[in-house]
Amino acid sequence: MSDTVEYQWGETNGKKYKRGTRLPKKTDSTPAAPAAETPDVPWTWEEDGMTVIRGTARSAPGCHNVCGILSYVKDGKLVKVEGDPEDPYNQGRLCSRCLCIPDYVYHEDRLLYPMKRAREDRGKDKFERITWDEAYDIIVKNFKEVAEKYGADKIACCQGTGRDIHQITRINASVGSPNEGVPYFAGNSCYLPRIASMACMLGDPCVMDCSQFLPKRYDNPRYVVPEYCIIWGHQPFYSNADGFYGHWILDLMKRGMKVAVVDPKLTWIAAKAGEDWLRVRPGGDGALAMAMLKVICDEKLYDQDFCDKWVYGLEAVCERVAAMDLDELCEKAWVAKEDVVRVARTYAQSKPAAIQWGVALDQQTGGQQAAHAVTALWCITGNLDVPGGNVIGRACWGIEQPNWTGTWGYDELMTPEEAAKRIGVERYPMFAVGFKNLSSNATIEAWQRGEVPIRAAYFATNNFLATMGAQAEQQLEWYKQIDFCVFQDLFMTPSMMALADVVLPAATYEERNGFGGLNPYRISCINKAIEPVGETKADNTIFLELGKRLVEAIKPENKDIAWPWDTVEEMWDYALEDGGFTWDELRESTWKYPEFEYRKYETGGLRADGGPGFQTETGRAEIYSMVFHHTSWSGLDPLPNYVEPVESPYSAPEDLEEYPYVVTSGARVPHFFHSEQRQVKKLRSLHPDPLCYIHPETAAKHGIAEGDWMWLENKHGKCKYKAAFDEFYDPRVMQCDHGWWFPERKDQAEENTEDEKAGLFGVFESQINNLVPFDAGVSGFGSNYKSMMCKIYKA
Amino acid sequence: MSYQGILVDVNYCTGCEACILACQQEKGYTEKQFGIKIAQLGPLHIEEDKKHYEYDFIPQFTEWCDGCAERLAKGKKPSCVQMCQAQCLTWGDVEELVKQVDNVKQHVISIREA
Repeated sequence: MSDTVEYQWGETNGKKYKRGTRLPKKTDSTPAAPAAETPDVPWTWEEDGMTVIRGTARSAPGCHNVCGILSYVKDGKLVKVEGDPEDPYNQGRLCSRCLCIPDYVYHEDRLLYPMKRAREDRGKDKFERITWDEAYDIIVKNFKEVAEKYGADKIACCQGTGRDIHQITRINASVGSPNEGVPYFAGNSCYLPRIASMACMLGDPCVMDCSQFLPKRYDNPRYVVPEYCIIWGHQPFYSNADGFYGHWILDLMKRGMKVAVVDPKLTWIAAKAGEDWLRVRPGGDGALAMAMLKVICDEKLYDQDFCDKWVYGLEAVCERVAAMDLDELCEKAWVAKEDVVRVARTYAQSKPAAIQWGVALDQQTGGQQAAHAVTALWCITGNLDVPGGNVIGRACWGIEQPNWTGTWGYDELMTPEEAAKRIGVERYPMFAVGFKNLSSNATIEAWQRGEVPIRAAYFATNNFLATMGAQAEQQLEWYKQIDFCVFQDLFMTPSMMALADVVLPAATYEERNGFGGLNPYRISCINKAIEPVGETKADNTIFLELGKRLVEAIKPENKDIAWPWDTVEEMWDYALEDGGFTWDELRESTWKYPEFEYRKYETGGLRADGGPGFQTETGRAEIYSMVFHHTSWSGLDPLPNYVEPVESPYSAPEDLEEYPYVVTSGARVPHFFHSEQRQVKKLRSLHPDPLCYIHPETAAKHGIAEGDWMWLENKHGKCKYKAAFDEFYDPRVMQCDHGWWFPERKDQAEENTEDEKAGLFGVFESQINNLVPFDAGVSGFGSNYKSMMCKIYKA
Repeated sequence: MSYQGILVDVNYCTGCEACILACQQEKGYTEKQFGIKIAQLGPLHIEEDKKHYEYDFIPQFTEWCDGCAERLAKGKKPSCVQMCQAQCLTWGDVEELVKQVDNVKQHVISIREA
């Protein structure tokens, strides 16, 4: 077997671009496949003196969904928003955050104008209103200076999550920097560990099939309701993660699907699972996954016929798990063996069965390895790409720009020499084979060595001091060394207050045109209902306008191909060409679904050569991964394995006496998207305080009563939360809300002239990330945001 | 005389509280006014060794609820019913709704003259 393999997947969805030519019309070479459904519904009408506009709620504010909405407008003002009953995606439903969108759009604290601030005034509320032209001029001047002085690779585009800002990859490609990503987010620990694992094993990512690929949904006769579903590290109804509308799970439960739930918390759905609720130790998911894999392999409950035809590595996996001790795995997972055995058997024997997983799997040292083990579960049981199983999804019609793994512009705008300067690419091979983000851990390591890996940073949709930043207070000290920081958001955030030299005010989905991708099911239209408030602009408009100026100043050789569009609608027309329709045509139908096929490995729908099988080296679903085989020098393991988190009761038993508890974090609250919405009164009143959910007996030991403020502390830092009792947690485990800051403390920011931290809206106070170690194991993917050892005491 | 009301299926309310906002936005209420609120029951052990639990979210209507008379007049569903993510609320004629009730966690409330 050759040691050098050319991986074809992930290459901007397989499209090659010729450098130095104006962009060709894409559909001249390959006509697009027709849409599965073009609905006959109007996109606008008059009703009771109001104009109704049908569209898609796709950011801002942030969200991972693309729900269909009806916006009601009177005299140019947004009155209310309702779920669109005709949209197959959410079928008339809508969550509290979008229902509250008028309160968000017209909030008194919205940023309305571009602003600048002198670098020496960072942390102080000394911003000055400027024009868009001046803002763009300052950015171009500073980026150019950094490119000339330090090199373009020192310009980093730093994103958050949940907003349609994927065109930002074209901004960094425009200046010749390969460094785009989430450099403050240890282990890129949100979905990427799972996506990368699936991509390495299968050539493509999978998602649980809830009929969301089919416009007729549950009524489509091709669809089969799963008999059984394991909900793993996930509360679907409140999190709506990764383009997955959580209540689809409930739709299926009403149609007979039974569930098992892996969660340290007795959630509502865990209570429904009853005896199949596996109360896993935070960080013990990998042990549990290996235990379940062992039961299925040892008992030969896998689908032998499917494995013979389509799976590579079954024997090797069986050998690996045979050598493991089931009792030990269950003990480390803190789950009773009989429960593990029962759930594994039920999963293997149910046809079809599905696994719907969440970010808990990513946020532990062994996140990538755990994802490998869980993916192996649905491969060997034959639940791969079958109706009601875990199905392979790709960007609709190959439309790359909104795609969740896309890096729009990377290939056609950057030279190989520029691309080679991506941070961490040599250190973590998984970043080389599929991903084109920078490695956050390699960036953090550079800061730790005293280097300055970033000299200019463009933060769009990110409030990392409140959300992604492990040990954010330490990271703030690093980021202060950056010469020039731009922030683009809707409200003044703690991160912006701490660091911004230029502020760009962004618009909501009600104030812009666009289209929603971020899922492989359908493309839907984002339809402007009102004019932007103040001087705000859509993220995408800002990228287009700024991109033109940046490429002209820094890489003029690319000015014909980088941003050749005059308006965002023209930019959308170009992106949508792969689908064979224009943005206007999309607006006429609001949504379009490509034709979806199951069992694509049988029909040749997955491989570049059109043959049957998967887009992998062996052509099979590689539970023995050839990608990891070739890169095993880095410590990657071709087989599924269980890796204990750093600083856990098993990897650091010497710390147990001082830090006897395990705290997890990040469980979603339905009214907040990470650090957003804290300033929206109606939503905040439903969850006013940062809570720590704790067993009452544990609290009593430390003299903490329900509603008391308490400290959690470990060797990395401490944080303060309000105690909320929950006797269904393991007494050794507690759970803290994430993303908290206090926008109501804005007066402290305004008055602040001396104490920098006093002006940052209390962001470091109820901040569970203070306790998070920097760590990402061997893969560079997955870090310990959800299993920190700690002690507690009353505040 | 006929009556209309809302059938609440407590088996499926997930506690997402979308209904509270649906009502407030429809009626122009502040955060201190709501036509519907969600109560929480449990989690409780029914049988501890069998991991059998009671954990319910229970939608309850208040005097701020006017049954969305204006929406009904236009042939629409009440706002909370349409937006309910769990689709555990059904509006209709009481006589028809009662026929759908087949277990202890379903009830018809918010009853008004048609």
